[in-house]
Parts: sequence; structure tokens; C-alpha cells
Amino acid sequence: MEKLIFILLLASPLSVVVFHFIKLKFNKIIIHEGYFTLPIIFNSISFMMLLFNYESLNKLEFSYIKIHSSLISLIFSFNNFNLLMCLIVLVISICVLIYSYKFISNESYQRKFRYSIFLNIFISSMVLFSLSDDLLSSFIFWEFLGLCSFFLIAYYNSDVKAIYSSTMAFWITRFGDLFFLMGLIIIYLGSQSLSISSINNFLINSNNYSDNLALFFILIGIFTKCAQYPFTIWLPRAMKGPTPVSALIHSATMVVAGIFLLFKLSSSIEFYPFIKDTIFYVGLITSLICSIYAFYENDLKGILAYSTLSHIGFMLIPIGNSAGEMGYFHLYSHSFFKSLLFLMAGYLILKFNETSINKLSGKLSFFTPYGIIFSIACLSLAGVYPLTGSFSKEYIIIDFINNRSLIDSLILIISVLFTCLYSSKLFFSIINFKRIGHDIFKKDIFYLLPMGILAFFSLTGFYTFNFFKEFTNINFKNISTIELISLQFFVIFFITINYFFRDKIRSYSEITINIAKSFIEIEHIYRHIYKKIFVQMGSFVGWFDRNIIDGFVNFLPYIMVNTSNYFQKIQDGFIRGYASKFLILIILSIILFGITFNV
Amino acid sequence: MENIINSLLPEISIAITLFLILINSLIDHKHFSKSNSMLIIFGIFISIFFLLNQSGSIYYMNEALVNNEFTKAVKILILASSLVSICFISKKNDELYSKIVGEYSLLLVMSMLGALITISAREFFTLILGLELMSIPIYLMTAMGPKGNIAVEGATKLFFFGTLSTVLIIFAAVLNFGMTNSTLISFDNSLSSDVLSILSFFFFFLSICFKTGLIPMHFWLSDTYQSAPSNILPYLSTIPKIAVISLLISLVSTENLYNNIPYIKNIIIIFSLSSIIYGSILTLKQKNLFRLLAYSGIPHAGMMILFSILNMQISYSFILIYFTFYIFSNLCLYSSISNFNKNQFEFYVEDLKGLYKDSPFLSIIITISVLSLAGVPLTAGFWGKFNIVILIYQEYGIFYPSIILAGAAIGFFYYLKLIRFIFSDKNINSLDKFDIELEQKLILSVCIAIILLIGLNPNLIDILSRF
Amino acid sequence: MILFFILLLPLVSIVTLSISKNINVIKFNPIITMGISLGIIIYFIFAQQIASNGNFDNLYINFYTLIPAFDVNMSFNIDRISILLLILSHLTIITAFFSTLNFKLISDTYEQNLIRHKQINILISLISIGINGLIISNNLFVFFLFYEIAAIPIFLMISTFGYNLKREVSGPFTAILKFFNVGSKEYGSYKITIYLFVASILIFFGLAILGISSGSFEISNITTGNNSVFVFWLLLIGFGTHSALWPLHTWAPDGHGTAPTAGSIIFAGILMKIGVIGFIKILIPIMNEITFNYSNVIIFLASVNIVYGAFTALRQNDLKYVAAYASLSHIGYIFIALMTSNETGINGAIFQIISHGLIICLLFFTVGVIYRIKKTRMISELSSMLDYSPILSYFFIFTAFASIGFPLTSGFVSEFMIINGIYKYFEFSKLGILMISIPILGILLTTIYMFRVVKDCIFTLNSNLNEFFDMDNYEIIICFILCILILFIGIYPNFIQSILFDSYKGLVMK
Repeated sequence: MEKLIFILLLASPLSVVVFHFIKLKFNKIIIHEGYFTLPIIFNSISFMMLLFNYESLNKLEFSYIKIHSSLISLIFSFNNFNLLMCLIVLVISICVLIYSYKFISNESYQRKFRYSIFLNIFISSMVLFSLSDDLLSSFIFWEFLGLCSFFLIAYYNSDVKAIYSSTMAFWITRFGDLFFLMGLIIIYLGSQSLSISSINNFLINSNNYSDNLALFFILIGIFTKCAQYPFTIWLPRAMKGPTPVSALIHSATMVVAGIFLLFKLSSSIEFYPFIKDTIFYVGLITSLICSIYAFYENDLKGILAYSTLSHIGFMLIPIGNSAGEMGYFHLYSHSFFKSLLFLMAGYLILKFNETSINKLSGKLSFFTPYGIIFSIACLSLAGVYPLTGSFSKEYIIIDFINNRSLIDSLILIISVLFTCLYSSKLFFSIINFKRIGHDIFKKDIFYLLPMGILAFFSLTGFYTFNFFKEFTNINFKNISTIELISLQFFVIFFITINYFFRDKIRSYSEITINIAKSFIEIEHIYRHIYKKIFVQMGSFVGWFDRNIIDGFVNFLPYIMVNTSNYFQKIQDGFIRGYASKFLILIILSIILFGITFNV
Repeated sequence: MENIINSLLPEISIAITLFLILINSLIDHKHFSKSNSMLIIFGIFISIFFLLNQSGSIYYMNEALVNNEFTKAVKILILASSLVSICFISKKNDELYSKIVGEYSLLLVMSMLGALITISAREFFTLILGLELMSIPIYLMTAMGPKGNIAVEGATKLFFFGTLSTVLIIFAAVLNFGMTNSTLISFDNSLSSDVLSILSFFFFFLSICFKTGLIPMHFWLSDTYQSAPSNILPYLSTIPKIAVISLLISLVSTENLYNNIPYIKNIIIIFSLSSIIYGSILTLKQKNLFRLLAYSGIPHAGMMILFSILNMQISYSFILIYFTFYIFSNLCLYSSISNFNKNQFEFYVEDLKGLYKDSPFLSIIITISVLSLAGVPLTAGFWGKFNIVILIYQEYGIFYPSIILAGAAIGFFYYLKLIRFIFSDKNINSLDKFDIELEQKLILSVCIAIILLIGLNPNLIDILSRF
Repeated sequence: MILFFILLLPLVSIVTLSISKNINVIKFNPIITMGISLGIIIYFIFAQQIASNGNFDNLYINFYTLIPAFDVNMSFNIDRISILLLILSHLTIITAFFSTLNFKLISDTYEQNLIRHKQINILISLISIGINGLIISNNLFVFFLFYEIAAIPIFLMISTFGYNLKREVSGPFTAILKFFNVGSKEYGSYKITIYLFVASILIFFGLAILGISSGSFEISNITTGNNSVFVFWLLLIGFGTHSALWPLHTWAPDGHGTAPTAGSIIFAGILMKIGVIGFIKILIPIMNEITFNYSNVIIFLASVNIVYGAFTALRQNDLKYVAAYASLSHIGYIFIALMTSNETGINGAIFQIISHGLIICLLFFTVGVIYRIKKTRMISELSSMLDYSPILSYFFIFTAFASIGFPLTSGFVSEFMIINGIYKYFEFSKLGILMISIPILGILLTTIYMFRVVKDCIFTLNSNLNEFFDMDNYEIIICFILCILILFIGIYPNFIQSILFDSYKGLVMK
């Protein structure tokens, strides 16, 4: 059974390759559909399997490599947390596959292959990542996520910006991954195993210098992958990629993979206050700055990117606050509406060929299915009760306010406030309440079906909340109605304010926006580092090697050849010259001999 | 008296061959006569036969001459190799040479006789006799030939240094006589001062340097090799050198001159090592093929001289390996080159371009012999260098071997240059097609086979020298 | 016993080549021969169950004695490590043969083409004899002998079939560099040959001293003599030059740049490993104590190699120079790992030898194909290969990922093991964290320069050229085989780990 699931997961990218090969050979008789249909089928089968008999599945172990005379094995376990992550990933990826079948349909089959193969590799490796129960396999599939994102961001390679941003994203994430690797190796020498449970035990028991360092290195890896501050910049730039890819990778799955890993390690992170504080403050700062910046942003996908960043910050905060399950819960609920928003944005951009929301303002009528779906998504993002987004956010906020000091709470409140502001801004600027535009928004099943599924999950808050609680049997402590009502009042109040006095708020919050801007836009620093350190150092070392070392190497033969030329001159071919030289040599040798051996 | 005759039989047989040739050339006036070469080959075989019958080491004619295992082996080597040079001198197909082939064969036999006498000489008069008998025919041979005035000029330089060396060796003999009241080569300092013995040995050594082309007597080499008719080069480059060097080695290491002469080893080491380095560097930038080959002989001569400071009992077979490899490599190299020298004074290394396409056989012969001279494994040359490095290291430590190897490293450069030109593509003014005769091909392949066999198994020489 | 005749198999192909007149025979005969001998080796592995059983005794054979006085024999010995090295060398040579299949010049007539193929295939076969003999040699003389056999054909190969490059020079030594007319193929061939010959002279001298002082040239019964520090330095410089240890590495870029594709493949794949083989066969087992006394020096030089090579590769414009410096920096890992003297590190070193061999073969092969297709190797002149020659660019991207040590490729396994070994060697200390940060930095730099190339040459779309051509089938086949091997080692490293069962025990600090 488990083996079968693995085979299915590996089969979906493989099927694409085989299909492409057949297509190359017999171009005529094959149609393009195979690039998406087979993976959709495989993934849905594995989804069904995981969903309906997850009790019967038990862990898999593959022995991989022998290090320090003990065999490291890749462990894949089907406990509830992993399974839930799998299910989220599979739901969203099936939706995205259906969506992108239509989205990509008018490309050449080479490009279709490129799109589909990396998308499917991504899905499989993401599922395997969420199933993996030891750090090595996590690292392996973690790297694969980076690979696929690298290729998919650079999909529109006629645009130079896309290539640059993909390369930058890959370099930054790779940088973090190497720190991850170092941390992994440092931990492994201590605890002679890499499975999550034994690592947790080891970290709880031994709390010394090297463990702190290792955890810190792993954190750096996670922050780069989650695009936390100061590595934020690659995620907004990654929006150059196709929108379904952003919906899958850059909102729901890859960027939150680190959160999932931290959640697994959270039981041992309890005992490392330095690590906890780092997680907490990084999450707080990122959520604050990015939510402010998202309010300032005008590009549709840009808003979504920054809001993703701020929500990842929200997920980090409880983990740093010793309430990891809430972060996981927020991950779960956030993934639905954020990927839904991305799909919607992709649809709009495709229809109107515009990305700035000023151009798009009032283009989408509320009374079309798309309008309804979009408004559900926006309100869920804003955290309106009883939509899915509201629950997790409330829990985080209230747990936070009870445990933390006033200033921290204030910062969090501000970031929540700005979340409401930008989501309502999104809502009011795109939606109009006139019954128009049915001719533009034709009902297209390939767009409506995935969006409908995601909209269902993000609409029915109670159902998803209970599903989460039953599946993972975490019991959250109930929230008192006063807190709930006050929060909802807060949210609604700001939404309405934003509806009436949007420009005033813009003008008042100019200063904060500038501060956020100065924090966010640090891309030039990266460029500077790249140019100053790598490029100039590289050119200098290259010059040094080619000219100094190589020149010095050529020095000896140079001398020899010139001496040889000089000796040639001695052989001038005149007997008198020969005789004189001969005499000189004889006398010299006699004198030298006499001196050296004082005869 | 009988034992004198017995021990002189090889030389006598060669001398008789000489008379027979003279008589024969009175009979028929053809420029080239097959009977001459037949005679020569027959005489050489006879003398080799007599040599094989000799055994043990005996001094005769009041210790003026000696026969022992070493001289026997070297004599056999020289006779065998001179067969090859004879064959390459008597080229029927070459119009230019055919006038003087008769003289060449005569003179060559004469100087071969001189070489034989030189090897077993232990006394100054016999030595001078041998050396002169060996050198004077060479002067004539270089002066003759199609290159005209240039050849005469080269011969003049050779002659100048030859007379100089004769003067020096006579002076050494005089000093030696003054010291020891005898003309035996002993340099015995027991009766007189060290300085005299050192000086006399020094001048003796200088005259040997002339024959072997060590510095400071190396000046004649390049001009003579360049201007001499190229088909005597196989003889000129090998046999005189070997004869003189074997004389020196056997003198120094068997007649234990170490005790007689202080600092003798220092003299030999200084001259040999300096000529190794100087010769290697000198050859680096040489464009002209014959000058290059002439210079590349200097380091080899230096190495062979180095054997004389080693213990004869240990290094006996190693010396023979080195001699064999040197003689046969040079024979192959020079005889193949003498085939396509169009008697032009300027014959550059570039002119070898495209030889691979013209004649694969010759190119392979040249490649193997050059690699053997460069001292690459699987050829006999490697064992020459290997043994001398090992022996020198065992007796004298690290410094001298490192100089030898440095010389080898430099030498590799110009030997590679030849190979590269042979195998690179053809350019316009390179050699035109030519053919070499079958027996020459056979002889060359035999020489190459000897080189490779010794390279594969250096014990071969040991086994042969047991006879 | 049959295993020793793999030395003679290339001779058969040489004879066939020299007599045959048919172009296809000349092209495919050596490939088939090497394939047969590779098959023999693999059959041997499975017949002896080397992977499974622990008690595999080395195969020792002594054909005959050359010099009884110093115990100089024609003797060979095969152990677990040398089996792996043999497989690697065979793969390298086969790749080189495949790279000569498209060797035809446009100007060539049929005969000229025939002769070119004949010459280069004979040269490669000679080199293969040299390499294989060197790997299984058990005698210092045999070691040197087979080195020389490999060295001469390389010189001829470069000087006959090489490329002329333009290299702009500046700095204090400009006059000298101009005097030697750097970048020409004569320069490259002379440089590499003289460089390596001087190195081999040093090696020979060191080996001779070793052999004399211990009275025997047999590697198995050599003991270190009195002046063994001097010998150590001789051998370190010699082997270091062969493996392009900094600062003795400058032959590598020029050699690779001027050599034909087959030459580059052979250099980087197996010839740069000669020094490492010397370390494994001679320096560490025989001169164990001295070597580990100087291990700091070697580790320092190797670290310099890693960082220096990577930094230099950052700004090269010629793909072959990029690859050359990449292999330079990857060689550094091997030396660091050999000095760690624990099981993980040493196995990592062997893994790195093999994986670097495979990866660099693939890299140079793809570069050669790029040169064949696009007629240039300059990064600034290449673009948009992903759209116009997809298969080639997928292979190139695979190579890039393998060379940055991406998981499930052989590069990851070796680097993972090496870094673990280094950290184990320094036992938890802060210095250990510093030391493992050096290979990590190397990997990061590798990422940067490799993906700079990918970004500029593969992705960037230059719309005004639109000719669609790609690799032909033979090239696809060999590239595919190499990729499969790289992935196999990356996914199932246990196989090789079980082949080198406990051979690390000979290489640890005694």
C-alpha cells in the first residue's frame, strides 16, 4: 500500500517524460492532453488512498548511506500531521493541475513539457517532503523544491527579469540550504541518527554550544526558504513566474515547508530560548513590514506575495511562542484562500492582461461566480468570521496577547490592522456591484472547478476547523465570545473605514510606508554584495592566476631559453674565437680548481 | 710471444683486412666494389670470433696493452656497430657518394683499428698511436664528400682541436714520465708532488674531452656535424666516443688511479656535470637538426664519463647497457636522418614535418630512438639513466642525481620537439618521397629490436656478457 | 588472472586500427574493446562477490624480474580501490572515444578523416594502457613506466589536434607570457608535458630513493628510509602537480583549453587523479607518519584549491576554463578528505574521485558538443539553448546540478561524506565548524558560477537566432549512460560502500 503510493508519486513525473518522448517520436498522432491528464489521475488516486485508509499505513524505511559506521536511512511515516500536510498539498496541486491545463493550453509542446515536468516533480517531492520523518530526506526533497521553483519562475524566459529573479531566488535559497546541511551534519555527529524523534530527544537532553549553532543554521535555511526577513526579496520577485505556479509553490506549499519542519522540531525548540526568540521576532518583524508594504503595493500579484510573507510571519510567531500547533493550523487555513486568490489573480490577469489594481479597478462584477469566489477569498484573508481565515488568526492573536508584553502585542495588532486594510483594499478596488460583464466571464469548468473547491474550503470555516481538530486531535482551548466579538468588530470596523477613507489612510500612513519601504527594498544590497565580493574577487583571482602565477611558472623556461640563445652566440664558428674561449675556460677551471681545493 | 700474438689476433685480423682492401682496390678501379665491403664484413666477423675466444684479463707487451672482460665486451660492441656504419656508408643508390665510398670504407676500417688499440691501451705511446690512428682518418672523411668547402672548414676545426688534444696528451705523457720514469699511464704521485699528477691527469682528461665532446672541448662538435657528409655521422657520433670513454673508465676504475691522484673524482664530476647542464641548455633553442643532435651528445658523454667514478665491479653491466643503448640509438637516428639529408648545409628541424606520412617506417625508427635517448621507460635509454642515478645516489647522495635529472628534464624538451615535428602535418618545403634499401631496413629494425629488448629486460646484457 | 589481460586488450585494438581501412571499424572498434574489458571487470566483481563477502584477497602477479639487485619486477596488484578506479578509467576512455565520433573537419577528404580518426584513437588507446597499468601497478618502476606511457600520447594529441586560443595578458610577467605566445596549442602541449614530466622526474627520484633505501621497489614491502622527509616533499610536489594542487595547477586550465574534447575528458576524468592515486597507493600507506605530520599543509593547500578554483571559475568566459577550474576546486575535496583519516572521510574521497570523474566527463562532453554545434565556447556568445537545443541543455543542466552536489546525485553523496568526515576529524571543535565551512563555501561558489553559465547560455532567449539542432544519437546514448551512473551512485551509494569494504583501514593514521 505505502509502496503503491510511492510508485504513484514517482509515476506522475515519469509519465510526463514518457509521454513527451512518444510525442517527440510520433508527433502527428498524439494530442497535447497527456501532459496534465495522467498526473491528475495519479495524484487523485494517491489522494484517495491517503484520505480513506490512513489508519492502515505504517512507516517506510530505506537505508541510504553509511556515515561514521552507522547506516542512515530515509524514513517516511504516515502520522497525522504528515498526512494532513500531504492532503493539503495534494488538494491544491490537483486544483492547480486542472487550472494550468487550460492556462498553458496555447503553448508549444516543448514549453508545455517544461512546465508540466517540473510542476509534477515539485508535487511529488513536496508530498514526499511532508511524509518524510528524518532530516536527511527532508533536506533532499527540500532541495528539489528549490530546483523546481528555479525552473518554473524562469518559465517565461523571453523576459530577462524572470531569469534574473529565478537565479536570485535559487542562489538565496541555496545559500540557506547549505546552512541547513551544516546544521544537519553538526547535529548528526552528536545524535547518531537523523530521525525527527531521536533528534528531538537528543536536543532536549544535551543543550550545548554546538546544538544551538546547529539549530541556528537550520533556522537560517528555513528563513531563506520561507523568505523571512532579511531574505524576503526573492519571493515578490518570483512573481514573474506563471500564476498557477505562484499559487502552488509561492503561497501554499514550498514557502511554508519550513514552518512544517519547525512545527515538527517545536518540541525541542522549547528548550532553546535564543532560537525561540529569533523565530518570534523575525516572524513579528516580517509580518509587520510586509503587511504595511502590501497596503502600499499596487501590483496585484505583489500584494498577494507580501501578504503571503506577512502570513508566514503569523505562522512563525506562535512557534516562537511555544504554541506550534497554532502555526500549523494557520498554515492549513492560509493555504486554501491564498492559493485561491492567486488562481483568481491569474484569471484576471489573463482576461484583462493587466497587473496593476488601479487598471483592474471595478472590472469584476460581484454577481458572477468569479466575483463571489473572489470576495470569499478576500474576506477570508481579512479574517471575517466565520470564514476559515478568521479562526486561526484569532487563536494566534488571543494566545499571543495573553502571553506577551504590550509592545509586542501592539506591533501584532498593527500588522493585523494592515492585513485588514490591504485585503479590503483588494476587495473594494476589484469588485463592483453592478450586474455587468457576464459576457467577459464565461463559465469555464477548468477555471471554476479548482477555484470552487478551494472556495469551499475557505468558506466553511467550522467544517475545516473541526476537520483539523479531529484529524490531528489537537484540542484548542475555547475562545470566549467577548474576545471573538471584539476582534470581529475590530476587523469589520477597519474594513468599513478603509472603504470610506482609503486615500486619507494612505496619506496618514505615508511615514510608516516609507519606513517599511526602506526595510523591504534591500535588493540593491544583495546586488552590491554579489558585485563587490563575488564578481570583483573572481575577476581579481582570475587575473592573478592567469598573469602572476602563470607568469611566474613561465619564468624558469624563459630564463633557460634565453641562456640557450646566449650560448648559441658563443658557438660562432671561428677557430680563433674557439681557441680563445677554450683558453679562457681552461685557465678559469684551473684557477677555480686551485682555489676550491687549495692545491 | 705466442700469447702476444693470441691476444693481438683481433687487431691483427682487422689490419690484414686493411691490407687486403688496399690490394683489392689496386685490382679493380670501380668506385664502389662489392668485394671491399664483403672483405670488411668478413674481417670484422673473424676478429669478433677471435675476441670470443679470448678469456681472462692479461697484460702483455710490458703492460702496454691489456685484455679483460670489459675491453672484450666493448670491442665486440664496437665491431658489431661498425657493421651498421659500413652498411650505411656504402649506399649504392646515392650518386654523390658513390665516388668516394671506396675511400670511406678504407678509412673507416683504419680508424676502427685505432679504436680497438685505444680501448686496450695502458701506456702512453700505444694510446697516442691508437688515438691518432682513430682520429686522422676521421679528419679525412669529414673533409671529403659532396659538401665541398663547408666540409673542409668543418674538418679544419676538427683538425685544430685534434692537434690540440694530441699536444695536450703528449704534454701529459711528458709530465707523467717526469713523475714516474715510465710511460705507463699511472700518474703516480708517490715519487713527486700532487700538483704534477693532477696537472698531468688534467691535460690527459682534456684530450679525452676532445674526443668525447665534453666542455671545454666541445666547440668543434656543432660545425663538424653540420658540415660533415651525413653518412659518416653514425660512425663519428658513436665509436670514437665509446672507445675513449671505455678507456677512461677502465683506467680510472681498474688501475685504481684514485690512490695516485687526489681530487680526480672532483675533476671528473665537475666537467661531466657542467657539460650535462650546459649541453642540455645549449640544445634548447637549436633549429638546425645536425647541430641539435651534436649538442644533444654532450650530456650523454657527461653521463658516460660519470661511470668512471663508480666501482667497476658493480657498474660493469650497467656501463655496457649504457654503451649499447647509446650506440644503437645514435646509429638508428643518424642513419635514418642520413637517408633524407639532401646534402644541404642548412637542414632544419621543421624539415622533418610530415615525415609520418612520407615514410612511417623511418618515423617510427626515429621516434623510438629519440625516446630512448630521452630516457623513456620501455626503451634501453631509461635503464641507462636509471642505473646511473641509482649508483651515483648510493655513493654520493642526493645532489649529483638531482643535477642529472634536471639535465634529463631539459633534454626531454628538445627530444619531444623532434617527435612533434615528425607527427605534425606536412608543410610545403618538407622532404620529398624517397626509399631506403631492404637490408638497411633490416639492420635498422634489428637495432630497434635490441633497444626495445634491453628496455623490456635489462638482464639481457648481463646474460650476453657472461660469454 | 584474466583481469591482468585488460592491459593487452587495447593493444589488440591498436593493431586493428593500424591495419584497417574502414572508417566505421576505426570508429567503433576501440569502443567495443574497452566495453569488453569493462565487462570483464564487472563480471569479475560479481563472480567474486566482492560487494558481499569481506574476505576478498588482493590479486597479485609478478610477470618477471627486471633488476634482481633492487627487486624491480613487472608486478601488478588489484585491490578493492583499484577495481573502482579501473571502472572509472574505462568509463572515461569510452567517453573519450565517443567524443571522437564527430571528429570530422569540413575540409577533410575521406582519407584525411580516416587518418585523423586512426591517429587519435591509437593515441587514446595508448593512454588507456598507461592509465590502467598505473592503477594496478604494484612496483614503483611499473608505476613510473605506465605514467610515461600515458604521458607521451597526450603531448602528441594536444599538439596535433588541439585548439589555438587567444589569451590577453597583463601584469608584471607580460613580456614572458607574450614571448611564449600563450594560448597556442604548441604552448599548451609543451606546458602540460614539460610540467608533468618534471613532476614525474621528481616522483621518479623520490621513488628511486625510497626503493634503494629499503632495498626493494615493491610497493608492498617498502619501508621509509633515513631522509624520508626529503622524499616526502619530492613526492608531494610531484603528485600535487599531477593533481593540480595549488599553486602547481596552471597546467590544468591551459591543457584543458587547448586540448581536444577527448583530451580534456581524459585529463579531468582520470589523469588528474594520478596524484591522488599516488597518495592512495604510496604516500599514505608507505610514508604514513610523515604524511600525517604534514597533514596541515596538505589540508591548507586543498582548502586554497577549493576556494581559489571556485573564485577563478566565477569570471571565466571560456566554458572549458570554467570546467577546468571547477575540476580544480573539486580535486581539493579529495585531498582534504584523504587527510581526515576516518572511514567516512576516506570513503568520501573515493566517492569524490569517482563522482568527479563521471561529472567532469559529462561536463566536458557537453561542452564539446556545444562547441561542435555552436562553433564557440564563449559564454558571452552563447544563448537560448533551452529553446533551440533542448536535450543538450537538459544534459548540461543535469551536469550543473550534479556538480553543485545536488541530492540524489553522486556529488551530494561524496560531499556529504567528506564534510561529515572533516567534522569528525575535528571532533566537535569550533575549528571543525570553520573547516566544514570551507567546502560549504566551495559548494556555494560552485552554485554561483554554474548557474551563471546556465542563466546566460541556457535560459537567456536570443530571439534573432532560430536554428534548431541538437545532439545526435551516439552523444545522447553516452550522456544518458553517464547520467544514469551518476544517479545510481547518488541513490544507491551502498553498493560502492560495500565494494570498498574495509579498504579505508590502509589509509588511516597509524
